[in-house]
Order: sequence, then C-alpha cells, then structure tokens
Amino acid sequence: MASILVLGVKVPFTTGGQEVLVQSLMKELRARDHEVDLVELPFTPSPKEKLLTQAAMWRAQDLSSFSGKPVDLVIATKFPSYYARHPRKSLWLVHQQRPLYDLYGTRYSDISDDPRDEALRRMLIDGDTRVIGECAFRSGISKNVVTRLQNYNGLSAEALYPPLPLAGKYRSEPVGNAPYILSVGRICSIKRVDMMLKALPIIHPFVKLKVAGTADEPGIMDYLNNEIDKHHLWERVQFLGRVSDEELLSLYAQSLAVYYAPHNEDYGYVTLEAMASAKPVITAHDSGGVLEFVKDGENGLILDPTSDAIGHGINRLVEDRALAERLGKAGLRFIEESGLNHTGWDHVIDRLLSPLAFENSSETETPSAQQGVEGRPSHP
Amino acid sequence: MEHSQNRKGEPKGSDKKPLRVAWFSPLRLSQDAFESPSPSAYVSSVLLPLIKERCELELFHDSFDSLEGYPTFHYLTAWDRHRNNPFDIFFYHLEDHRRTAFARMHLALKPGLVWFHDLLLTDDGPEPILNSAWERVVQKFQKAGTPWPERGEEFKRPRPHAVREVGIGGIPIFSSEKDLKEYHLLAARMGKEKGLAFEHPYSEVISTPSHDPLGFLLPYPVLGPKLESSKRATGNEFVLGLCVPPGIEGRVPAILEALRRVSSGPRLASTNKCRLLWLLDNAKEREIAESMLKDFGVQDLCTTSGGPDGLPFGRGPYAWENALDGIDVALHLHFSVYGQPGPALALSLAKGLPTLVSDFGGSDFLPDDVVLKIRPGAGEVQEIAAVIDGLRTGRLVVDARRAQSVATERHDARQIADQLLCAMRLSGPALERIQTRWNALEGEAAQALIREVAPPAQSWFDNERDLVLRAPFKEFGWGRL
Repeated sequence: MASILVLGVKVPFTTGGQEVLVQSLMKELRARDHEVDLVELPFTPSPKEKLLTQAAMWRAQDLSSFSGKPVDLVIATKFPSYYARHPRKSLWLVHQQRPLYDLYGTRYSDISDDPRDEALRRMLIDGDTRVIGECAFRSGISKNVVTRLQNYNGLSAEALYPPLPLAGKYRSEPVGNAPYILSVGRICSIKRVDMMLKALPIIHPFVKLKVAGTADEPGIMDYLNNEIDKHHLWERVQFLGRVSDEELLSLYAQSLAVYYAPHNEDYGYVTLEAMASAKPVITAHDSGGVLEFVKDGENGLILDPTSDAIGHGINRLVEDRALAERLGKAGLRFIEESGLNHTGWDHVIDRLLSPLAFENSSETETPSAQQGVEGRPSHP
Repeated sequence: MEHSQNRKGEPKGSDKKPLRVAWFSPLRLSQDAFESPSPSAYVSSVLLPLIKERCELELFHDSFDSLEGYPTFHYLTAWDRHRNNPFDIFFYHLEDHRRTAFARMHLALKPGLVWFHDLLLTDDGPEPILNSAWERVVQKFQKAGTPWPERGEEFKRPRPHAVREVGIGGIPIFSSEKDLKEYHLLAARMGKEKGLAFEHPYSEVISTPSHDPLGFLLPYPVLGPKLESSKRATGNEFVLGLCVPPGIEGRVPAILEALRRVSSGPRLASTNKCRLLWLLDNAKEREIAESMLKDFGVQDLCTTSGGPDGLPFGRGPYAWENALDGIDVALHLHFSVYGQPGPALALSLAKGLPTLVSDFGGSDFLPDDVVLKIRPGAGEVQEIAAVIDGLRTGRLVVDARRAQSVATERHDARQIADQLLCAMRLSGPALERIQTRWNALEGEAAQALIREVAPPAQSWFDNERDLVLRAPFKEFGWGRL
C-alpha cells in the first residue's frame, strides 16, 4: 500500500466544502489501507500581493520523503497547494484562485486595472499553468472546474465528482406545519444568501429561512442583518452557524426545499445532499456546477438570479406540495443511479492513484496528462 | 475623416506588411443569433469581412465562443497571445453598456485604438475599475519616476465623460462630430485640471501643427447604400418606424402624443391612417411600452415586437434594416447627452426614408435638407404631429436621393473600412511608441509588486523568509527577492 499526502488549504476559522472533501478523501484512502496524512498551510486571499508568497511557500516544500521514508504520491486540491513539488503529483482540483480567472471583472474579484495587479494575475496564471502541467494525473471536482482549466490554462483534466460525504445517512421526512427553506454553506457574497433573504417578503409569510453555515467575509453579517431589519424579517430568518452532521441531516430531511444559487459554483455538495434527502433544489441560471445535476422542472427549479424570480419560484413549491415532492423524489432517483453515493469512491480513488500504476512516472504520463494540451487554448 | 500624412503625402507606416490587430468587441456569433442593439457588434459584423484579407485579425470578447471564420478568443487570454506573437494594434469598441465592460477594463491593460461609440458613460464601470487609480498610472506613464498610487487610494469619476478611458486608452475614434468636439474640450480641461498631457502623438507626420489631440472620425458603416427609390409599393397605412427603448431619451412620450393627435384629427378618406411600428429588445421593454401606449390611448395604432402580429424581439441595426421596407418615416429623435441614434439612423438615410431627428447634439452636423429636425421641448409634440401629417398627406416632400447620396458619401462601408485601416496605419508609429513605454511600465509594475510582496529584510526572520522563497521566485521568473 502507498504512503500518500493529501495537500489541503486551510482558511483559519472557516469550514466549507474543501474541508469536507479532504477529510472524506483521507478516510476513504485509509479504508483502502493506504498510509495517509494531511499537509495543510494556512491561506488568506488578502492582501492579494501575498498570493505570490503563499504559492512560493508551497513550492519551497520538499514533500518527497520524511524521516527517510519516501512519499509515494501527493494529491493536491486547491490553490496554492498544487505548487508543491513532488515527482508524483495528482490533482483533484477544487478550484484555482478564481478572482484571477472567471471572476475577474465581477464584484467577486479584487483585482483592479492597476498594472501591478495585472502583473500579479499574469505571474500566477503562468505559474498555475506550469505547476498544474507537472501533475501526473489531473482531474477536477466537476465539469465546470475542468472546463475552466482547459479554457484559461489550456490543460485537460477529467471530471471526478466527489461522492456524498454522509452517504447512506440522508433521509427524507414530511414537511411540517412550519415549512422552511434551507440554505447551507459558507456565508459570503458569492453564495448569494442575500438573494434568498430578499426574496422572503414576496414568499408566503409562514415560510421561514434557515441558514446553516458560518460567515467568512468581513461585513457580510452586518449586511444581511441590515437587510433583515429593512424588511422586518426577524421572525423569519434563523442563522444556525455551524451544525453537527446529525443536525444537518435533520435540517435537510424536514425542509420544504433547499436554496443553493451561488454564482458559477465549482461543484456544490449541497445540491447533491438536497437530492439525497429527496428535496427540490432552488438554483439560478448562472450557478455553474450546480446545473450539472439540477434540471428545471425535473428535480429542481432553475430561475433568473433575482430575488423576484427566486421568491415566485419558491411560492410555486409552497402552493403545490405535490410538485415539491415530485421534484424531490426525482432528485433522489438521480442520486441512487449516479454512483455519487458511497460506491463512487472506488472510481475516484482508482483515478487519483493512477500515477502509482506507472513505474517511472517521470518518464511516462498517465492517460489524463497525455491528453493535456499545453499552452493556451486557440481557435483553429 | 481627419487624417495625417507624411511630408510626401502618404500615410506613414503604409508598408505592405499586414497589421496584426487584436480586435475587442461584442460579437454577433451567427446570423441566427439574437441581435442586441449593440453598435459595436454591428460595426464589427459589417467591417470585419471587408478588412480580414488586409490585416491579421484576432477577435477578443467576453466568452469562449467563436465567430465562424475568425480566430476568436476570450479577452483574458490576449496578454498571452500578445506575448507569443505581438500585436501591432489593440483595437477596442466602447459603448455605454456593460457588454463592452471587458473592453473598458482591458484598454487600461494594453492601450491602443479605441472606438468610442459613447463618450459619456452612465456608470462607473465594472469592479476592476471602480476607484481605479488611473490618473496616477497615466501620470506615471507620461513621466518616469512618478510614484505608484497608494493601495486603497480612491479616485472618483469627476464627470460623466469616459475620462479614464480617454486618458489611458490611447488614440480615439468617434462616430459623431459631437463626440469628437467634446473630446477636444475634455482633453483641454483635463490637461488644465489634472496636468495630463494629451500631446499630439503624430507631430512628425502632421504638416501643420495642431493644438488638438488627434482623434479620428468614422461614421457608422452601411453596406451598399443603393440609390433607388424608397417608395413603398403596397400598404394602406402610413407607418412610422421606431427602434428605441421606452424612455424619454428617445422622445417616446412626445411621439405617442403626436401620434394620438394626428390620428384623432380630421382625415381625408384618401389619406392613410397612421401606424407606429416599434421595435423592442425584450419582454420587459414591451411591458413598459404597452403601458405607455395605453396611457396615451394609442395601443390600437401600434405594432410592437413580441406582440400578436409576430414581430420578433430585437431592435438592433439588422432588425431595423429588415423593417425598413415596411416603414414610411423613420423616427430617430434623441434628446440626451448620453447615447446617440447610432447605426439605425445611417441605415434610414441609406434607404432614403424621410427621417425625423432632434435638433440637438450630433444632429447639428446633419444637413437640414437631409433630415427633418425637431426642436425638443415646448412645441415638440406639435412639430412632430405637423411633420407626420405633412408627410402623410404629401404636403411635405423629402428628396430621398439627397439623403441617399449623403449616406453613400458618408456611410459607405467600404470607404469606412479603408479609412479604419488608414487610421490604424497612421496610428502605428504613435502606438508603437505608446506600447514601448507601456511595456516598460509593465516591467516596473512587476518590480513594484515584488517590492510590495517582500520589502527589504528588516530582521533575521525576514532574511530566513527570503532565503526560503528566493528559489521559487527565481524558478517562476517572478523577480528577485
């Protein structure tokens, strides 16, 4: 069995899908008798100039052996962990530093038109292309992520969907007399919890909103609380903070629907957890990876990214419970047929460990790396 | 077009090597694609086929989709394509609309030639340029040794003009004499207020000195204006054509009131009833338009896009051109410092239609015998009604051939394409100078960034940090710690 290091990136005091993915991966690797440990460096996205330093810190790490014992494989996940140096590096890309890429030009990016910011962007894009190109195996957690990698860095990769973290434990229960919409995830602007909150005034007043997750953006809670005050929503919104797995399973099980409409999401565990709980997903046309699973009118609602549209969409489910139930059941069927429950890990692990199947990985590329197109994408 | 020549009378830079041009514009990706009312997309669709054989074009827009027949890329990849095979010209289209936000951002990353379809902008722009420290960057660009702006230093847009884009973009092109004139005034004001110099970049090619910074004027192109009669063969209604959003800038309330008056007044049996054909972009515009029609009581006199008559949504130039055969009078009234009638006006003139414009702004420069000018304000409704009635009854006659000859002289697409290439060649030496200096500025920016990342070591800890990071920084070519 192999000794493997999983390379994680930790923003202190926050928890999100990345942590869940890393812990699940380690658990599954150990269950298959591999020796596994986690290497994490703290990360902060600001000030943006320090992104170079943080990438360089990873690059400066020698992960090839510890105490004379070789490390057979490293699995990188997120920027800047893939800057680490190792002769056998697999990539399961959660996302790159998106403000430099697809979020550039939007309110979710702090990169300005200052030439120094442009220099930063180019340095890191070049660096990303180079170090990701070193990987013996490249994959991403969704088609959205691998498409970005191809479009911006000219590198091909496979989509390997992360199976559900609590597979086998999700359940569905009847919606009670106090129906609520559930929102799960980090509270930050790109997750657009505010859009759901601002939809509440046009939703039937007996419907509440429960938000599970912690804030990881300065000022976001002040902003949301201001909106609650403005619209007199004190009795209708509940911020639950971080919840235990059991509490989360109950929240999903008893909800009327799950709201998950981030801007161009990478993947979205929440989508699949909602489906596994037989609950319809409320999402938006521009929610990215979520749309790889949600089909409008089949297992959820795909709406315009406005509070108005979200509110009217939710009212449809409130007024037509049979519709909500039908959409939820279709989502559950999708999960059961998709391999995204527990059995999905066999394929994921098999692919991530594929570099180990080649004796001289420095000379022989795995199929994924062979398909890679180096250099920038071009139009014929 | 104002243009410059060398002392031999030839445009400088007119050698035989094709120019390599990075063309930034919204694009209409296929004939079937929905046509937005974007003047940039229209101009690109008309001019690109006329110049593609004469220069080496690469198109850049805010998407990974491609325009058939052209190498098309996402605008964020332009810097890398330039690095591998440098462009001679970065050419941008800029509108007062977020569809050109990407061009608005990128022109400050690589200055070039900028076609200002609008010089006044209603918003501060996309995130990267909010509070942009462009003034400091331009000052640094013009005078070496000027310090970089402090991080967090805020700059507010001082006026609605595209001051940042004019100051940093490079060399401008305008479609209207009004905007060109406004640019000269703006440049003079900015020079005085901000100490920014808009020097004439081609002093070596201009035979007489000019105090005005150079700007080019290129009217909107029209393919093949034909000198033929525009008289409609059939129809028992007198159709007024309109392709503006429902708002006061397009004088819609005045038009609707005039329509109501004309239609409610006495009419000879031989005189046709009036109908308004109103092209709209989408359902939201239609909802507002329908509400306005009801307010003025003219809903039965109007055909709108998206309505039961089957007129599809779309008020872009091609949609307008398709509608012209069924129109008797074109309405291009516009009373606002923002925006202009755009390519649709040129198309109406090329068709030889009687055309109403507001006696304001860009229309000042149109000859009085080519268009019918309506003064905005008191009396506007009566004027519009009187003109419509006069045209309808034949008391007012407009010489279609005069409008068409102006269109041919001014808007012929092949001439505009030639002039655009000429502008590119004439700009060549100046843009080369700008690019050289800009490349140096980019190098200075990279060094400044590294100094921000790792200021000079103050302590043993800093020394240790530098030792650890030095190798990766060197490996990636990021600079020397």
